[in-house]
Amino acid sequence: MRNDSSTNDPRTIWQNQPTEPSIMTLEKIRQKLQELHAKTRRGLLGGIAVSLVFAGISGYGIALGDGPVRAAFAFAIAWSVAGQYFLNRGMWSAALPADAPLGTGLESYRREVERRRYLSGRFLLWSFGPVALAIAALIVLLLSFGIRRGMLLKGTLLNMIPFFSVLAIWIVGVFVMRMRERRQLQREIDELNDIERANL
Amino acid sequence: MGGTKSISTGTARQDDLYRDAAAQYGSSIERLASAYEADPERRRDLSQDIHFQLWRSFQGYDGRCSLRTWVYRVAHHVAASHVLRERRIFSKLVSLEELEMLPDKDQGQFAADQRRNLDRLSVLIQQLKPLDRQVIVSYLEDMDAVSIGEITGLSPGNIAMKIHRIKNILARRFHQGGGHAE
Repeated sequence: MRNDSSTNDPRTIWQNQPTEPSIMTLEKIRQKLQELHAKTRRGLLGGIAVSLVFAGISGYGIALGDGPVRAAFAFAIAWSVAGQYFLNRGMWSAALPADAPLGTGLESYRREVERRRYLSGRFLLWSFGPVALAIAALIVLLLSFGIRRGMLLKGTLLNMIPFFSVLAIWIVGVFVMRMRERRQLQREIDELNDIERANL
Repeated sequence: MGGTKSISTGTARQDDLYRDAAAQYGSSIERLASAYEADPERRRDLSQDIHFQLWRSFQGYDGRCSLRTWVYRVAHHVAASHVLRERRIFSKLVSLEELEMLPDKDQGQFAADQRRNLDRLSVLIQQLKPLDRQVIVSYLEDMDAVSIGEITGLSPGNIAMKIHRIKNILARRFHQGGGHAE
């Protein structure tokens, strides 16, 4: 039995594996294309809606705050608007670079890892950054209210400590996870560089 | 309007090229998808995504490489992106070199039925980093070193070394004594 090549030869096993017949037809592909258009539009509109909500909350913060807090909210709005522009700029071409198949596996994989690393950085800078700043400004605003009103809001502020803590943990957690992801992607790029050097 | 070129409704030539490729390499694409995705539902999605991107890619196909090389490059690219998107690159994916050093849990046990051997082979492939997966899948698809080089972009020396490792790993895990994996 050990010499039965049909059950023991990896290439035979691999090539004779049962596969489902593909259900993709040109009609289905065109349908998928329409879905991709719709998804892109939805993503764009969703981003704009989130930005508007964000701008509304920050605008409220500007109205209530003073000095540096007001400036921080204003800066967060400007940052978020700029972020929407930079995040949506590359949306259409994000699925597959037009020349990707011309590159070899090594080139296109490297490009994809670099793209992921770039996107991860872009998220931190243009999405996460303004949100973190606005949350920080909101916390400062609430704290300054509490301090100005004295004992009246002391209890409320104490009750909000768990909420502030969760927000702070979330901000730190997202930042740490994204930075770790970027480091891992960089390691992958370094490995690919080594392979390219060995290729020469 | 950058999107109008990359997302168009397609041309007759593009459709013809896609039909040819799907007819010739449809089964290979299904097998390739199984090397990158273990979950049947997600595998179906990945396979459909490969077909979709393949159709899109034919907009830029100018015949500078063979249809087979083109199909495999696109398919591996989409599948590797899938691995990255699913963040599996951060789980414990290993290189062929590392896999060769890992002890085989099933060593000494020989599975008589093809289904179990296929499962073991799939698990082995799915542990690998995307670039090494490209090499092993191409090897299992009976491609020679030149074709593997065209698809992966690795040098002949690098491919020879990787194929040597693949043969060692497969021989050890499938009890072939080296000869059958040639």
